[in-house]
Formats: sequence, structure tokens, C-alpha cells
Amino acid sequence: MTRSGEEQELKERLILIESMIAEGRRSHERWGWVYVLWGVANCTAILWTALGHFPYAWPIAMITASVLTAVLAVRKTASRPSTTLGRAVSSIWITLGVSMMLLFPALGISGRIDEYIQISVASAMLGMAYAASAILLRWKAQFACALIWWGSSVFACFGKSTPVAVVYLSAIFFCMIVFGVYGMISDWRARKLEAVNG
Amino acid sequence: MTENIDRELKDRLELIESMIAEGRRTTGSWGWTFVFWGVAYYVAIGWTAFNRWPWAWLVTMMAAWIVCWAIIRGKQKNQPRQTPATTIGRAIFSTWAAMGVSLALLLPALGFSGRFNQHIFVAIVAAMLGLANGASGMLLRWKAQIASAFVWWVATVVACFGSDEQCTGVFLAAIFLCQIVFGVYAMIFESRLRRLEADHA
Repeated sequence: MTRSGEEQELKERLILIESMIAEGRRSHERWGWVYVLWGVANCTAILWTALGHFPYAWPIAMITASVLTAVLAVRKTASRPSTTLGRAVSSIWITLGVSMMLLFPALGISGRIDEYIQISVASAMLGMAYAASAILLRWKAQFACALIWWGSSVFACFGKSTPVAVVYLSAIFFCMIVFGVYGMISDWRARKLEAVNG
Repeated sequence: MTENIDRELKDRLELIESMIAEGRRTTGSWGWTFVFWGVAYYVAIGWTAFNRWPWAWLVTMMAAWIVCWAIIRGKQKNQPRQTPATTIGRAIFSTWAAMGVSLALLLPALGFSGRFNQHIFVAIVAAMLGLANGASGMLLRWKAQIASAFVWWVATVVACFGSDEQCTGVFLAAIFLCQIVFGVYAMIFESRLRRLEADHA
């Protein structure tokens, strides 16, 4: 193959990758409701535990959120073909879910966890998933969320009870609820634009 | 019209399949890092067990980072032509890079704040490695790597409920199977592919 032919192939490949990234980010925005759902589930579990002192608040909230996510996700994905980027992002989130669902109940039941370790580890794992997805989709807003999670993870190790809770609740609010609503609005705008353009 | 859609779908599927094959091969070319980090974990565990020096893990991990980075730089310089990054390659890189940053922040923070013990350490590291191996294995549809993820997840649960000895034993076994054995397997897989390509060229 000639040099210009190789350059052309590289250029075409780059254009394809760019379009796949744009498509991946767009499809990720359609999942904005998941962030909001999990943000609300986390807040509910925290408040339920703090105010109601109910020991099963976390398992009930997490299982309910998992079932709701699975049911709604199956209905949403049934009609759409999967892209490579979509598969990449979903594999990160699915394995994050499996890891968390194994780690936290095991640590909790064996009595090896306290609120600081729980917040620190949960924030670090969420930071990992957000960062991996953000690097892949080249999405600055999501990367900013990863930085917030990592900040919350380190702060939970050194801070006192109330400030740690405030930082964690703020991280949930910004990185799950605000980011999720932002994704839903972006998706709604893009859909409206598509409808106008026919 | 229907024929065109079928053709487009077929092209897309072929592209995805070729990307997966390429991604698996790229992972194979990084097989040495699995072995390298497996050996680094063993060095750190051995050092801590025999010397009881509290900084053994930190020093070993930092030294491993520097050596790993130097080897990668050296390899990149020796390569005659840079190949462009594929989507799957970027996905795998982003997963492992994000895991590295998360562990590099979380583990020293937990250690310096005195909130650590052996069980929590093994449970966290195993859960994170299960996540990264699982994500990569699902993406590449690579059963061996998905099996590695399961081994790490089992290690997570055993670390929480087992005794000190069981926790150490399961961690050593998981490192051997998922880092050393899987790393060597990936290296053999890649060298076989390279030899096949050379024969066909």
C-alpha cells in the first residue's frame, strides 16, 4: 500500500472512531435516568438508615434499585442494536455492579466495615467507573464527576463523621442526580433537534 | 432497501468481530504486565511477611510503577511504527488506568488513616481486579479473562469471611492464577498469533 493510501486509511479510521465516540456519548445520555435512579436510591438508603435506624435499609434500597434498573434497561435495549462503545461502557457498569454487590454485603455481614470505609471504597469504585467511561467517551463533565468521587474517597479516610457524610451526599447529588439530569436534558434536546430536522 | 440494511448490519458485525479479535491480541501483547504485577505482589507480600516493614507495600508498588512505565516507554521507542488506537483498545486502557488511579488513591489513604487490615485490603484489591478483568473479559468475549474475574470475586468473599491464613492463601492463589498463569497464557496466545501472521506473510 502507498503512503497516501495508508494515510487515507488512517484518516478514515479516525473519522470512524470519532463518530463512534459521538454515538457512544449520545447513547450514554439516554441512560441519564439510571444515574438519577441510583442517586435517589443512595440518598433514600442513607436517610432511612440515619433517621429510621433500620438495619435492612441498604439491602432493600439497593435490591429495589437493581430490579428497577434491570426491568427498565431490558425494555429500553430490546429495540436497539448494540455498538462496540456501548458494550464497552455497559461492561464497565455491569462489572462495577457485580463487584459492589459482592464486596459490600460480604464486608457488612462479616462485620469488617464502618461508615468511613464504606464511603471511601464506594467512592473509589464509582470514581473508577466514571473515569473509565469518561476517558472512553472523552466526556469532560463525567471526568469531573470522577474527580469528585476520588476526592470524596480520600476525604472519607481522614475527615470527621459529619463532614464526611456531607461530602458524600454532595458527591451523590452532583455526580448522580445533577449529572443524570444533565444527560437526560442533552438527550431530550438532541431528540428534539432530530425531530425538527426530520 | 432490505438488502442494503442486511449488508450494513453484516459489515458492522464483521467490523465488531475484527475489533474484538484485535483487542484480544492487544491484551495478549500486554500479558507481561500481568506477570510483572503478579511478581510485584509476591515480592511485597514476602517482604511484609518476613521483614514486617510497614512501608514494604508502598515501596514495592512505587518501584513496580516506575519499572513498568520504563519498560512501556522502551517498548514504544523500539516499535518502528505506531499503530492507531482502536475503540476496544481505548476501552481496555481506560478501565485499567482508572483502576490504577483509584487503587493508588484509596489504599495509601486507608493505610495512612489507620483504617486498614489484611482482610479489607485483600477484599478491596480483589473486587477492583475482578471489576477490571470482568469488564475487559466481557468486552473481548474472552472466557479465560472472565474466569479470572470470577476467581477475584471469590477471593473478595473469602477475604471477608475467612481466617487470616485463608485470606492470605486465597490471595496468593488468585495472584498465581489470574496474574501469572493468565499473563503467561496471554503471552503464548499473542506469540502464536504473531507466528501465524509471519507464516502467512
